[in-house]
Amino acid sequence: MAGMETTGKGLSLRSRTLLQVLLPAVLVILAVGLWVRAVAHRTVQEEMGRRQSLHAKHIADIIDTQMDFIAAAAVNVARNDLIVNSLIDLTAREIYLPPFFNSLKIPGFPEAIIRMTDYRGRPIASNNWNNTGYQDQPWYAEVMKGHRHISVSPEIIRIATPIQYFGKTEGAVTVEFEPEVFRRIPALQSFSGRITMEDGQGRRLFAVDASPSEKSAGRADAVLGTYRHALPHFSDITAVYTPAVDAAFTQLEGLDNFMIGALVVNLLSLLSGVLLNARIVSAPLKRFAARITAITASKNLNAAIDEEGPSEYRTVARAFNILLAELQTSTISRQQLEHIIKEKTTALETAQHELVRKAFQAGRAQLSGMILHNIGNLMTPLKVHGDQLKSHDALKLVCHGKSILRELFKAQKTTGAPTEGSREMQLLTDLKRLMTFLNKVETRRKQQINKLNDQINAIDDLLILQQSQMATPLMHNEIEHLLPIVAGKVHTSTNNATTAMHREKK
Amino acid sequence: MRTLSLTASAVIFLLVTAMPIRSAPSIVIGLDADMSSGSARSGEAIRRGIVLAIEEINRSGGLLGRQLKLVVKDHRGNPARGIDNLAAFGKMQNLAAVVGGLHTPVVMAELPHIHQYRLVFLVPWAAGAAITDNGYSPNFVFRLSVNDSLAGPFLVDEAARRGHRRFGLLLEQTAWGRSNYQSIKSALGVRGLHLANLQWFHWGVSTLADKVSALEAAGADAILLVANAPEGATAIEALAELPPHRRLPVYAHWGITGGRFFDAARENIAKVDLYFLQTFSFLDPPFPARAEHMFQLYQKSFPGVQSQTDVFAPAGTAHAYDLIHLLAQAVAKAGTIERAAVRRTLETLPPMQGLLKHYATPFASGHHDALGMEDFRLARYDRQGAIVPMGKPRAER
Repeated sequence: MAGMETTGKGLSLRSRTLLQVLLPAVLVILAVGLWVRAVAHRTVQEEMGRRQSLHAKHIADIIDTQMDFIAAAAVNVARNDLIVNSLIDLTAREIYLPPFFNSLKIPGFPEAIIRMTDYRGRPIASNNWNNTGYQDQPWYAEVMKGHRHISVSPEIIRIATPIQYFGKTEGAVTVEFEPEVFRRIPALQSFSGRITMEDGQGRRLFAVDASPSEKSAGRADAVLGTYRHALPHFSDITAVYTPAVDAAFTQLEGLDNFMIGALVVNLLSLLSGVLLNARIVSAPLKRFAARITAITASKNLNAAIDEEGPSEYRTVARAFNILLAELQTSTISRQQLEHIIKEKTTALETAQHELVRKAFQAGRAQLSGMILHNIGNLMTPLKVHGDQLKSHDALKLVCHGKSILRELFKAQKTTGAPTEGSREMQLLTDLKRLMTFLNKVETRRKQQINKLNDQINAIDDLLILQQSQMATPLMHNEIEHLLPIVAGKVHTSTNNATTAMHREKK
Repeated sequence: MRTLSLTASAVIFLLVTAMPIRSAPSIVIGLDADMSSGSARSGEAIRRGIVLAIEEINRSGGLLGRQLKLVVKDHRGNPARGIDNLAAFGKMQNLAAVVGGLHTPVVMAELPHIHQYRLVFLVPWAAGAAITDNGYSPNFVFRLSVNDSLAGPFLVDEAARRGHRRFGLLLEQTAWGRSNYQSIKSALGVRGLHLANLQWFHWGVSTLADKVSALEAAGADAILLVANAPEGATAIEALAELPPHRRLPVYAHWGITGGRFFDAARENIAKVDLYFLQTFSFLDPPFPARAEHMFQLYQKSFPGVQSQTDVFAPAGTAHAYDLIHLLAQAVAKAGTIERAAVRRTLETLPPMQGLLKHYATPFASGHHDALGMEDFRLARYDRQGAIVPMGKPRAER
C-alpha cells in the first residue's frame, strides 16, 4: 500500500484522507441512503396502497362487468320477441323454444343455466336438462312485480329478469351459475394475489389465488392489508383483494438492491477517488520534498525547483524559488548588517551613558527644585505668622488698653476724680504704667517683626529665583552654595522671632 | 188458555218473521279475459256487455229465481294465467258458465282445461277457427264472434271488391295468426288471387318496417293484417313511415280494436288506408230499437258516455250481451245450472231476438258459432277514433 506509510509522526496524506474524508463520507452516504430508503419505502408503500386499492376496484369492475354482461344476456333473452311470443303461443313454446334454449349459451359462461318460467315460476324452457321452476319462491314474487332479482350465495348466483309484454310481467328468464365460474375470467388471473368475492353476509363466494399469495398471505395481511370494493351495479357483492406480498414487495426489494448497489458503487468510487487523489497529490509532493532535501544538503541557494505539474504545485515551486532567492539575498547582506549593528550599538551605548548622566543631573535638579519648593512651602506660614504678629496682637492690646483709659477718664469726669491713695487711684496708676510698658514692647516687637519679614522675603525671592532657574544646570552650583547661607539666616531669624514672641506673650 | 195460545202464536210468528230469509245463491258467470294488458279494452267491452245483460236479467227476476253475478279474472293475454283462472272457476260453486275472450292463443291453451272442468265456455271475442272446431266431444265451447274461417274469406272478398289482386299477409305468429293464414290462403286460392308474400311477427315486436317493406317489395297491392292492438299499431307505424305512394292499403282483422290501437296510432292511421272487420256498430245497428234500448242501458250503467261513438269496441259488448241472453235462455230452459245440461240446452235453443241478429238457431251440435260471414262488415276509424261501419252487413243487404 504505497502512500499509506506514515511520514514522521503524522499519518500519510492518503491515510489522513481516508480517515478524515472516507469515514465521514461513508457515514453520510449511509445516513442518506437509509433516509432515502425510508422515504422510498413509505412512498412506495403509499403508492402500492393506492395501486392495490385501484386493483380491488379494477377487480370489482371486471366482475361487475361480467355480472352486467350476464344480466344483460338475461335481459336480452327476456326481451326477445320469440320469448315473449312463446308465453302466448303454445305452438312456438313447443316447437321453437326447446332448440332455441338448447343452443342458448352465454359467451364465457357455458355452464350458466338459463331458464324461462311463467308468471308463477313454473318452468317453460331451459338449456339444462334439470328444468326446475321457482314456484312459491318468495323472490319470484318480486320478479313478477317487474324487478330484477339477484341472489348470491356460495353455491349459486342467480339473476332473474322479468319477461314483460305491454308493461306487464308475464314470466321470467333466470340465469344461474356457480360463483366459481368467475375463476376462469382471464383478467382475474393477471392479478398476483388472492381475489375473493363475498356476498352481503360476508360469505365467500369464490376465490382466485395466485400461487405466491398463499404462502405469504399472512404477511400480506400484516403489511398490505385487504382491499374491498363493492361491485358498482351489484352492491350485494364485494370484491376483496389481498395482494401477494412477494409481488407487491418486489418493487421494494428491487429498490433496496438498487440502494445497496448504489451505496457500494458510491463507496468504491469514493475510495478510488481518495486513493487516486492521494496519489496525484502525494507524488509531486514527494518530488518537491526530495528536491528541497537536495537543496538543503548542497546548501546551494542558487538551485531552483522545476515549476511543473498542476498549477498549485507550480505556484508552490514558484514561491519556494522566490524564497530561495530571497534567502540568498538575505545571506549576502547579513554581514553588512552586522557591522552596522555594531556601530550603532557603540553609538547607542555612548548615547546611553550621556543620557544617564544627563538624566542624573536632571534628576538632581529636579530633586533640588522639589526640596526648595518644600522649603518655600515651609516659609509661607512663617511669613504669614510674621505678618500677623506685625499687624495684630500687641497693637490690638495697646489699643484696647487706651480705650479702657479713655473710658476711665470719662468716668472720672462724671463720678469725680478719685481720691489719692484710694484704690481707684492706685489701679489707675498701675494701668498707666502698664500702658507705657506695652507701648515700648510694641515698638520693639515691630522692629523685630519687620526685620524678620525682610529676611523671609529675601529667602522667598531666592527660592522663586532658584525654581525659575532650576532646569538650568549652570545655576545648580550657585543654588547649592546659596542654600546653606539661606538656611542659616532663616534659622537665626526664626529663632530670634520665636524668642521675641515668647517674651511678648509672657 | 186462549190468551196463552195467542201469545205463543204471536211469539212464534215474530221469531219466524225475524229470522233471515235464506236467499238462493247467485248464479255465477265467470269472465276470463284480458283486463289489463295490450287488449284490455276488449275485456272491458265484454265485461260491459255481460253487466248490461245481467242487469236486465236480474231486473226481470233473475234466472231460476236466483240473481246472476259476475266474477272477473284477468288473464292478461297470458295462457298460463287463463288456465289458472279456469282452474279457479272450475272449483267454483254455482258457476253457470265462463265467458272467455281475447285471445285465441289463450282460449286454445284453455281448451283442455275447459273440457277437463266441463265448463260452459262462451266466446264473445276470439276468432280462431279451432276454438269451436276443437275436436272435443262434447264440445263445451260456444262462440258468438268472428270465426277466422269466415273472416279470411270476408277480408279477401272485401279487398278484391276494391280491386286488389296481390296480397301480402302480415300475421302474428300465434294460433290465431296461423288460423287466419289457413283461411286466407284457402280463400285466395278459391278466388284465384295471388299471395304475394307472407310475413310473420311475434308479440312484443318493436318494429315491422322490414316486414312491411318485404311485402311491398314482393309486389303486394294490399296487406291483410292479423294483429292485436300493440302489434297492429307497430305495423301501421311502419307503413306510415313509407312514402305515400308505397303505403299499401290494409285490411285488418278486428283484433286491433281490442286495445288502445287508435290512441297509439292516431297520427299514422290518418296516413294509411285502413279497413277492419266488425260485426256491430251503434252507429248503424241492424235493429235500431234494440240498439237504442241497449245504448240507454249502457249510458245508465257507464256514466260519461255521451253518444254512440263513445262506446269503444261495441262488437265485443254486443257479442257478450247477446251471449249472456242466450245463456240465460239455456239455463231457463234447462232449469238448472248444471254445466252439462246447460251445454246440451245451448245446442237446442229456440230462436232469439238478439242485438246483432235474429238467432234462428244460435247453436247446434257440431255448430257452435252463432255468427256467420253475413254478419260481418268493414269499418274504419273516424278522426275521433270512433268505429264507423262501411255499408251494411251482408245479412241486411
